[in-house]
Amino acid sequence: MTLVRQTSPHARGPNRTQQVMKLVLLATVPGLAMQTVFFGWGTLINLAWCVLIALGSEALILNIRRRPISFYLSDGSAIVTAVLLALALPPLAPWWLTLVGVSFAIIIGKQLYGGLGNNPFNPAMLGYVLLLISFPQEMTQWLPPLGSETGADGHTAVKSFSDALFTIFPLLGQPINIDAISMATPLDVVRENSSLTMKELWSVDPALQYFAGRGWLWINMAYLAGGLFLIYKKVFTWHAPVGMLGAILVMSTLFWGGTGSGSHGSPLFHLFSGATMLGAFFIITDPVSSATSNKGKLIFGAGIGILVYLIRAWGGYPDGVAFATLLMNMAAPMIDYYTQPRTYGHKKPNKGLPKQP
Amino acid sequence: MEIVFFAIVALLILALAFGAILGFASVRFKVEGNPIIDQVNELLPQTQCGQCGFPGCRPYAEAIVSGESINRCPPGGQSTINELADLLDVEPEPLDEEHGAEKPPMVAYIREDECIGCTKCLQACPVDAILGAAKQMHTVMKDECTGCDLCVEPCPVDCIDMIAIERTTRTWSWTLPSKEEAPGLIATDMRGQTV
Amino acid sequence: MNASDRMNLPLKDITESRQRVWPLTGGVHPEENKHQSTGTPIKPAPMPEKLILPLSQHAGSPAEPVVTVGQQVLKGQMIARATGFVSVPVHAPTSGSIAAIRSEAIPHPSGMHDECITIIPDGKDQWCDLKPIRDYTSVEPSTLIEHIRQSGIAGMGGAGFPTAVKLSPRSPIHTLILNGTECEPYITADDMLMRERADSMVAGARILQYLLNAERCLIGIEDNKPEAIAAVKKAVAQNSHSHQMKVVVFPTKYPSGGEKQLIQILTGLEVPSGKLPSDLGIAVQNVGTTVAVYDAVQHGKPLISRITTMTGEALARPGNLEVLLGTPTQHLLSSAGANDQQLATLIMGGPMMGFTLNELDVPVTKTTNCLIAGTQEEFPSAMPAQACIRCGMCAEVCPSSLLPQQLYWHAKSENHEQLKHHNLFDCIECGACSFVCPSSIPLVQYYRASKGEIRTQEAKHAKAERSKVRYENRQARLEKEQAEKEAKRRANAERAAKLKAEKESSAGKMSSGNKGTTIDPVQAAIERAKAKKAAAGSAGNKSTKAALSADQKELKIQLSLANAQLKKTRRALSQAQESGEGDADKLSADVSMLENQVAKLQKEFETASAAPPKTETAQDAEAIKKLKIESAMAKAALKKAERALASALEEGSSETEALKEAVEECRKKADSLANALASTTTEKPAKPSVDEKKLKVEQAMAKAALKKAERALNKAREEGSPETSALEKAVEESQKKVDSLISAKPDISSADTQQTKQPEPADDKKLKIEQAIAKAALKKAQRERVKAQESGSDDTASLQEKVDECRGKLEKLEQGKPSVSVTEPEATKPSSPAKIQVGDDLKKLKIENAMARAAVKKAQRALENAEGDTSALEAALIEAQTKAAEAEKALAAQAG
Repeated sequence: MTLVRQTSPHARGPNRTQQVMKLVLLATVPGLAMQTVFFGWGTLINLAWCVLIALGSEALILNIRRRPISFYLSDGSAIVTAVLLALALPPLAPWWLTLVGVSFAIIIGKQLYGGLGNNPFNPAMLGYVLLLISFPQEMTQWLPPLGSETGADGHTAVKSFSDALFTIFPLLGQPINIDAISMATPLDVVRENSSLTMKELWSVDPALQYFAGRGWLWINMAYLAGGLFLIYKKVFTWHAPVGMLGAILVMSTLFWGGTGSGSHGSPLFHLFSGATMLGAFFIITDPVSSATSNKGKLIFGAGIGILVYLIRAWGGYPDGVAFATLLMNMAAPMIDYYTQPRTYGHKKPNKGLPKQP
Repeated sequence: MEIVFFAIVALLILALAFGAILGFASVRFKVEGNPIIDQVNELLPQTQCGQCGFPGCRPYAEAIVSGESINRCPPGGQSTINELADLLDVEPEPLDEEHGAEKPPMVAYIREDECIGCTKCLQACPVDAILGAAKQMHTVMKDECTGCDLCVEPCPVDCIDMIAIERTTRTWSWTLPSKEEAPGLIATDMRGQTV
Repeated sequence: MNASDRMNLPLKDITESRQRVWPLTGGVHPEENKHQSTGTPIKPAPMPEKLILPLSQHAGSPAEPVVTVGQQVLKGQMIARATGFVSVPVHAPTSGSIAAIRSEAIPHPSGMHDECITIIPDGKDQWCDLKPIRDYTSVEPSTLIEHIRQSGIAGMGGAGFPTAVKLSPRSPIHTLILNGTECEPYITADDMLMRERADSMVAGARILQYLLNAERCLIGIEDNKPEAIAAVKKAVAQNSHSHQMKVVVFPTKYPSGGEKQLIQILTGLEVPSGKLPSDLGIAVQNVGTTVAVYDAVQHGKPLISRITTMTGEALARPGNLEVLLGTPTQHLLSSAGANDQQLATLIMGGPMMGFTLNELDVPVTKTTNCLIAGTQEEFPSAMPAQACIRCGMCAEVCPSSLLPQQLYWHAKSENHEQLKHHNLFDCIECGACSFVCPSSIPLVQYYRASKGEIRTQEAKHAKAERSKVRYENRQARLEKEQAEKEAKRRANAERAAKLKAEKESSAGKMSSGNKGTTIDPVQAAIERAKAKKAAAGSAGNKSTKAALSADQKELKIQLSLANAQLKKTRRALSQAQESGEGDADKLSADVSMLENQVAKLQKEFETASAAPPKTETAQDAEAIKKLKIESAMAKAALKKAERALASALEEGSSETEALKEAVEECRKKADSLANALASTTTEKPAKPSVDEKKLKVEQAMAKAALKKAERALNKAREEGSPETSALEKAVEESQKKVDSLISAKPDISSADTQQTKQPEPADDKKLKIEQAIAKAALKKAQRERVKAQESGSDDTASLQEKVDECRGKLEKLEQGKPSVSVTEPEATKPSSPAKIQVGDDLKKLKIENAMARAAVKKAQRALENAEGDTSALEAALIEAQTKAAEAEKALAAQAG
């Protein structure tokens, strides 16, 4: 009789990577639903297309790297990357744009660094930033959210599945002219505004509603709900999201600038517009590329929050979650060095690099 | 004219400032001797076996600092090479087999029945780890023996054996899980790790 | 508030109704699986057929057997004693006989074997005399601690640290903590013990409290053991010292039972890294250990059994058994109804920190608290590890607040500095991180491996450091010796120079004196000659006109030479003075020096002739010494020349011819010197051994030369050098020389035996050394031949010849030997010194015997290695074997 010989512990807990990934995907459902409601079928089509590309490119590279394909594909990390990128892309982004973004994210952003767990940057954000820099026009063509349509075309693009499909894949059918119907996001509107007071702006621009953007408020609320669910499920801790949201709150309060034409928008506007909640709960909580200790995560999140606000208020882009995330990804190892927790039996935590002997 | 004057004054001030900084730095960060040799020597196993071709560890350390390759120390093995590479910031190389293969730690053992007490091994031992006197049986102090092999050759009656130090339950420890299980870096991917 | 502040707080009144508990950092909730084994009370395990007692059941140095195989032992008798401070003895768990003391499988994660004592029970289970200490308060604590130590008690919770060591803390203890946590799943041994033996436990706690002088005792129990809590609370209430004891119940969470964790939960204090609980004034003892202490003190029973939980789904009757230490697990499993088909994993200890066994026959030891016979479904084999995604779940559950994911990455890249920086050594290996890891990474294995590797590296570095110091010390010593020699030489030179200067100055005076008194030098010489004659005459009278001894002669010669020189110089001086040219001053100085010398020699001569018998031997010996030194120097020169020749040959240098000549010259010189030496020494029949020694040295030298020549020849052959024939000739020549020397030898030694009885052992020794050297030569020759055969060289025949020659030589030497040793017992009477000699002889024979055996071995090895020409080797082997047999026979005869 041969007995199993292995190191302790012999008991195993219920956690599995697949389970974690599934929970994350599950938590995106409310946000996805809201985004579909407000921006139409394009989001869903994009999502399916993204997942397909992600799995395909992952399998390709695994094959080249001579790795067991099903074993690594089944961990679900490629799907999560694809879904997050899909949620960040404009709803009617053309198919090739998505192809470039997702394959770059998977191949360059993840597999070339050694696969899951070895990538220093958030792959989804890497893909997003590549697209944003390379194809700024396509990347800013957001549809008017439901309820703020300016023309008939816009209406059908949001509501009609075939129009959305053909716009994304022009080879399949007649696309709609997206340039004609696209409109600026609320963040862009507030950014570009230089003459109207906030009150006037809100009454003039159809993209703005309540204290945040039309549709965007609900989308952000949905992501918030999903994120709270994940915290409840202990998929990640509260530190990074709280750090980021807290920093945005503080920054936007400090540099609010009142309600006049020079205003950068209210704190609530910044918290519930753009990709704030998606970023706070789904992007920066990617454990691979973020800081490790709880304190580190808090600092990491806060850094992102500050950067996001800086980019939104004074940078060249309407939203800055992707850039901020990548910048803080770079800082994560250093944050790790300086935020080790205090170990049992030690008076002070260790800091910095080990002393050279 | 004024411009020239100011230029000269500015340059003078700069010169003074930098001179002061350099002077301060040379005092503050003064390096005693050549510490890198000591550091290299520190990493070498100190068997003084001479397998590297140098008469002892320190001479080899000096040679390394002046450009000798770091892979000539069989007793230290790959771990020493890696440490040296780390210290000197060069690429670790595999052990140069020309100078001997990496062996498990050894210790010399004198078959005391056969020892004729010639003291030849005593003189050969670089760390004075052999006890004995003329016409008296010799014995090796196990804890001090570096396993350098140098005593084997001089023995006229071939009574010295090199014995590998055995692993006991007290020195045993777990080994790292095999590396194939974890995805490595791209560079190592193609090295036959097909799964 | 730091730790020291907290420590200074006044201890809270222990009778306070609710004792505060602090939360555990991290921790997990694995499935408990404890109910399976708590259904039945503790039962004694049936007596096994044999008991295997490892000598190392505890942390520290292993015990040392004090029994022999076949000895009868009684239950409770010590069979192995402690070998240091951190060590405990082992006792016989039942009466029986010692069947074996050998290496056997022991419970260890490595699956390695270790020394064990095996006892076959006789079934009587008869106790030895027990020495209980009924009133422990009347005994000194140190005596009690020694009693506990001699009872073999080591921590029974898992680590097995000797309890006596823990009871001798460095700093005063204010709190004793009894660890009844048992946080690991499955294990219920402590639970059942507390339920059934709470009284003994509380009594044991009293003993420990008395020993440690601890003011309070906290009994920590997790809230998943309500029965145990009730039983212990009742026992505490009944105890007279209940106001000093307190049962503290806290929430169940793994790993609350870790010593450091329990201290944190019960006191809020943290044991500083690298320190012991006793540094905080706290002592922690397992409840099982406490009961063992009670049994040892109150009943005198040593630790021979323990309670072990038998559980797991592969068992039909799980439960807790009182098991004799040493009981094989196989026996326990079958008595608990193990299903062999289902049994897939056998874990000793708990599922979180225990280790798997890969043999069923390992014994239960002092630390075996649980045996889990698991099925495949219960403990599925580890899933392949996925990539670490740094999810941080491990950091959340780590009770030491480490960053397991960072440790994992650094362990994987073997970055030891970073590992230490991340406090790897504060890891308690509880397994909580591995338990929660979603990627199934065997984190604990990484940490254990890294810890082991770091420890090995550190030991290596420490040794390197020590070696360096030793090496440097040796270098310094050698240098010092060199410097001392140099200083001595310089001092000698200085002294000589001073002497010279003194002489010169005195000569100057003398010459001026001479001038003043105008003594005729010839006259002076005549006078001196007269005086000399007179002196010689008187000396001759004293020594009864015996012939002048050798040194006297020599002195005389020197004296006359010096006189002649003096005369010559004087003549030169007078000439110079007359002609007024040349260095008159110098010459006069020379004259005075020579005069001095002459006077000195004269004096020496006189003293030598005054005491001729004494000085004779001394002078003789001196002369011999001189000769010896000279001959040694000549030999060294020869060696050097030979070496140079060899290296020249190797390098193919053109100077080989010249070098060869030089070698020849040197050899000739050495030979002549050796001859001279021989002739000098042979004149003295009283010292035959010196002669022999010389011969032997010469022989050895010749052999060395032969070896060298052979080596050079081989090299030359390998390189295909054209000089091989010349070299061969040289080899032959040296061979011849060696032979002749050897043949010269037996005569002398046989003559020796006839002449004297005394120098035999020395003679013997010489012979043996020679033999050994010859053997070495033979070995070398054989090795060369084997090598040659391997390399397919066609020189094998000549090499074979060489081997044969060497062997012949060896035989000759050996033939010389028995006659010596055989004559010995006949010649000497059985007085006590003779006995010693015989003993000496016996030793010699033994050595010879061993050597012969070694030769046989070597021959066998050579035979194994050789492929082609095996017949010759076989013959050699047979020869060697017969030789060995002979040697053995001789030895037997001698011993008989």
